[in-house]
Amino acid sequence: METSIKSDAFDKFVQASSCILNPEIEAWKEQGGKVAGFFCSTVPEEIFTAAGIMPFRMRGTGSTGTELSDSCFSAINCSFPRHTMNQALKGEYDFLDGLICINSCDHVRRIYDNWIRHLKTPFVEVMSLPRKIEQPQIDWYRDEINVLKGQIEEHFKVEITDKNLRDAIKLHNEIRSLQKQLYELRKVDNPPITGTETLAVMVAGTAMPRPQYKALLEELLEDLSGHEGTGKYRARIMIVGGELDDPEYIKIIEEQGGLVVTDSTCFGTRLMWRPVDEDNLDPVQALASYYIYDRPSCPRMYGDQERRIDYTREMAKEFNVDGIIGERLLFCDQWLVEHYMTNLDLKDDGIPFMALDREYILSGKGQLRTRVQAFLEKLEAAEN
Amino acid sequence: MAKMDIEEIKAKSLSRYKEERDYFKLLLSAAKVMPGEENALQAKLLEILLDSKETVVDCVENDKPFIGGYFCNAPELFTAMDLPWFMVMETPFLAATAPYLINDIEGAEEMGLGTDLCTAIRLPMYYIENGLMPMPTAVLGLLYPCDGAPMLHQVLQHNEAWKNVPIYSCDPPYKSDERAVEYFADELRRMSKFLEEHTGKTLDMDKLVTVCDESNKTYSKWQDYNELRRNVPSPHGWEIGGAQAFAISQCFVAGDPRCTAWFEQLYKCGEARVKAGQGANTAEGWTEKIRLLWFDIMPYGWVFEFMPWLETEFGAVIVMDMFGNFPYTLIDTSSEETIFHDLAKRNLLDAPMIRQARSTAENFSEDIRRMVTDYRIDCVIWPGHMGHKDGSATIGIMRETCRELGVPFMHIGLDLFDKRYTSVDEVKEKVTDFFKGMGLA
Amino acid sequence: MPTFDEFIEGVCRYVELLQEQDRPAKSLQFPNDPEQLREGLPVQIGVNANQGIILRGDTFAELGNPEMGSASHLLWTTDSALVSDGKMTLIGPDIPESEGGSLPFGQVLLVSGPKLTPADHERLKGSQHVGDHIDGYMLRSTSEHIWARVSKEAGAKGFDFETLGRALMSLVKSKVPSVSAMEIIFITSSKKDVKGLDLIVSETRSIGREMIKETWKERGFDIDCEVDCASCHDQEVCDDIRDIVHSTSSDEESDELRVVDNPVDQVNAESVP
Repeated sequence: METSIKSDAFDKFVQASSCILNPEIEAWKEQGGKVAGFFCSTVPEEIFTAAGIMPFRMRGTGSTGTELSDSCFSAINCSFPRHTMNQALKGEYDFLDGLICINSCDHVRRIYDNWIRHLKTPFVEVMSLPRKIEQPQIDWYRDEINVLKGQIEEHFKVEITDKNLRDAIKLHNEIRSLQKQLYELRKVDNPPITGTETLAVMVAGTAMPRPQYKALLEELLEDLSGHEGTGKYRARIMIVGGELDDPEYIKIIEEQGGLVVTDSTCFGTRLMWRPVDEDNLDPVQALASYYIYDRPSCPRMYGDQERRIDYTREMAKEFNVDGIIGERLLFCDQWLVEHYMTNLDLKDDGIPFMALDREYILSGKGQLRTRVQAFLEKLEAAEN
Repeated sequence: MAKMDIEEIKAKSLSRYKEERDYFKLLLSAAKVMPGEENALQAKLLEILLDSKETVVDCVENDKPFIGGYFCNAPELFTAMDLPWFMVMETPFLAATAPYLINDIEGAEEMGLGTDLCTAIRLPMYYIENGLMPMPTAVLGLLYPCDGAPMLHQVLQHNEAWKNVPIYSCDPPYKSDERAVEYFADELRRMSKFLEEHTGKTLDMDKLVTVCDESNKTYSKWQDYNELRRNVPSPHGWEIGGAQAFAISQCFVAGDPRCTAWFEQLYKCGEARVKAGQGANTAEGWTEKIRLLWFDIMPYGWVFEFMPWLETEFGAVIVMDMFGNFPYTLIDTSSEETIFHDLAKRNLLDAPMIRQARSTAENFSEDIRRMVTDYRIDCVIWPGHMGHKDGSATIGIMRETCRELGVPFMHIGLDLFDKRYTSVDEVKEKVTDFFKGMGLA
Repeated sequence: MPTFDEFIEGVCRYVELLQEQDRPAKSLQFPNDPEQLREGLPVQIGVNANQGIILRGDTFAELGNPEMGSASHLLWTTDSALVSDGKMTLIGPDIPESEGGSLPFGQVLLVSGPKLTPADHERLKGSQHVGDHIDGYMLRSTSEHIWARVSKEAGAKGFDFETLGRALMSLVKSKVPSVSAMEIIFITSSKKDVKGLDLIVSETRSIGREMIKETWKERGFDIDCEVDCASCHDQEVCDDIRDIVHSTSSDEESDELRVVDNPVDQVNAESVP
């Protein structure tokens, strides 16, 4: 990645985000550490940290094809699970000691069914995530987390005490707070870090032992303290969408002059904008409440569109955004309809919005450039 | 969308609803002049359907309470509360061959709803956004079996005019154990309270017992009938007794003696054919050669162009399909507790599509396994509807199940409601290649 | 991996308890050889033995109508001491005494074999669904419980639980040769007794699911196909896919491949617009 940031920590983040098995994980494994993969940002990763297991957010990074997973999925399935499953079938995820799947969407939830039939990961479980965000659903998810906790304890022969959990929540909250500080730096006219670079930092945060990531993030924030970014750009852009873990996608937007200053994505602010409640006497209840209700939601959570659009509006205002790009992986019903509603709402607000479909691995770069250029021209015309 | 006031929506939606009702009147008049017991049954089914449509029209015109429902929301509860209902996504299933349907699909595309979202979900979104759907007193949603369902309900909540229509959506869990059934029973209880609160109706437990007892009678007769389809040759094919059984027991009415009577008559028709050694063919000069499991919804948008062809060209009879299958357990009406528990179980674990697509993929393979064995199936077709994305991510599992069973499996890739996605000719070509390649024809 | 052993013991204790409570009961001992088991039976056993369906009006007796009570389980073990080979216990009335009636029906198949593993569970579970293998006996197409009809013709020939028990033992032992011992329990005494049985073993469903899941994981993803390539009409497509897989993975990993499934379908899937 081309960058003006001079920071060893940042270099490590870039490396971690650009591959699956990074040196930090290798070192962790060499020391006897366990790694559990998980799909979707609604899986409470704190539970693994509390168990002394490194949580790893699943990706298909580095995939070039779906030749192996095509026997599991069909052409109308999202390319994210197809590429990720392909990577797994190629052996890229052989380092996992466990995997937690979840019913996040129609495509990703079937990874569980295909995984248990084709791969030999020793511990594979599936969680039931409700769609509603009310108290009975929080209670259901609390029970789900407790079930998972019991399964982890039994399989990995560990005890997850309330103290372990509270410590884990505290650590993850500290990371969230540092990531938020990183985002705050982007509010200025010439941010010291681009959207491309920020995404690399965020992705790395799901792929390293968390205490180590936290230390590196502190180091990066220090390195960035005197750093001046470029003030040359055509417009300040916010990205809204789902699974987006490839900084190269942002890079194309930024190369056209659209500086990405904030987002509502599940590798972005939705991961960390709000903390888990550390005062709740029951840490499992706190996690359930956080993942069902407290954190900014994605469209799979039902009945929350008003809060979602308000969150988008607030972020756009806070980061002085000129226009919003809604990205969506092809065949995703959830984001298709969400962007449809977002477009209507933002039209009423006078905030320019453009919805873009994409494949998981970066393709159609020319078309993407053209669409972004047209959007930026529209923003500039509106400005003048 | 241009903003419309409530009176404008009422007039516009009623006009469309009556148009749809009249389309079914036309079909009914055609069915009435056709000879034979099976056509009499078709006519009876259309009469029940039309009656439910007339009731909705009456409710809209005279401001009586009625609900916009989804499928698998325990409709016995609505019957017990004397609440008429229509399904917010019924048009693509019931009136898929209506002349205006293709225009509506194009309208949905023009709205920006793309071409890869399930047509059965896009269409009701289009109707809501364009004031073409009657606005009920309350809406009941269901947040599965696919991602499209909650998005449809959220569009409804987002729409300026519908915002004030109260909505309750049951949230089925992804698990299928006793904890999940109990949780879903509580969802149904909360749904009943919601209905009481917003419609002014009350749930009388004695009435619910009566309705559930009747519903049990209906389902018992359905199962009796299904056993007949195990006969070689099957007494009926795609035209009657399969998916209609689901529609009449859950979609138009539930726990209704007319429905029970319909199944009894259906059983008699089927039994007479079995005793006479008669198959699904009538006078067309073909015989049953291939016993087919169509493991999905019927291709309603082009059913008449395809299904008769399967029979006359290859003698391929749809002996069973996903919605005609009977995995149901009967409701124990001994207490309120058992009723809600069993209604939850029926609507969470038993009802088609929810049963397979809501949760992990076991029931895709379990059901294929059981149906292939019980119904002496020669081959399985998973149509691969463009909206059934979880199922399309299960094709490897279904294929492997069929391989273990030693029956050929085919995945087509089509839109059950829009024949422009994969043309009927293309589908026929693929099916022909498959039958020939597998030595079935 | 949890086993069914404690549940087998639980079922046996439950049967003893019912017997102590003076339920009508009988216990029979059958030979252990699958062929001998079929000898002298009043009806045919085997593939297509039941040619047609049994209509409502042709039913001698009904077993397991949900209103009467129904439960069906198969439990296996490697511990031969837990299963008494060839033993059948019936608690409650027999079929010939129930002409025109409907009996509650609890059925438990207990099997053992020193070489049985969780990999056999799915096949054993499936072996309960006897389909068209017993003349005059039709299992209705239901999902979780067991519901059956005995035909008038079979009833007239004396079809009873001994017939059913011997037939089931013969069929299961033939289908799964690693079964070395099998015992059967039928309960027809009352809905309450059947429900009690179901409660004792209900947990075994989730254990069974776990066994199936673990078996899939053990089996892994295999390129091997049981069909002989020379006689397979998919060979050309399959070869193309193998080539693609080889070319895409050769520079990354070893020659050990983890593909390929049904190539026909892959082509179909790709042709979707």
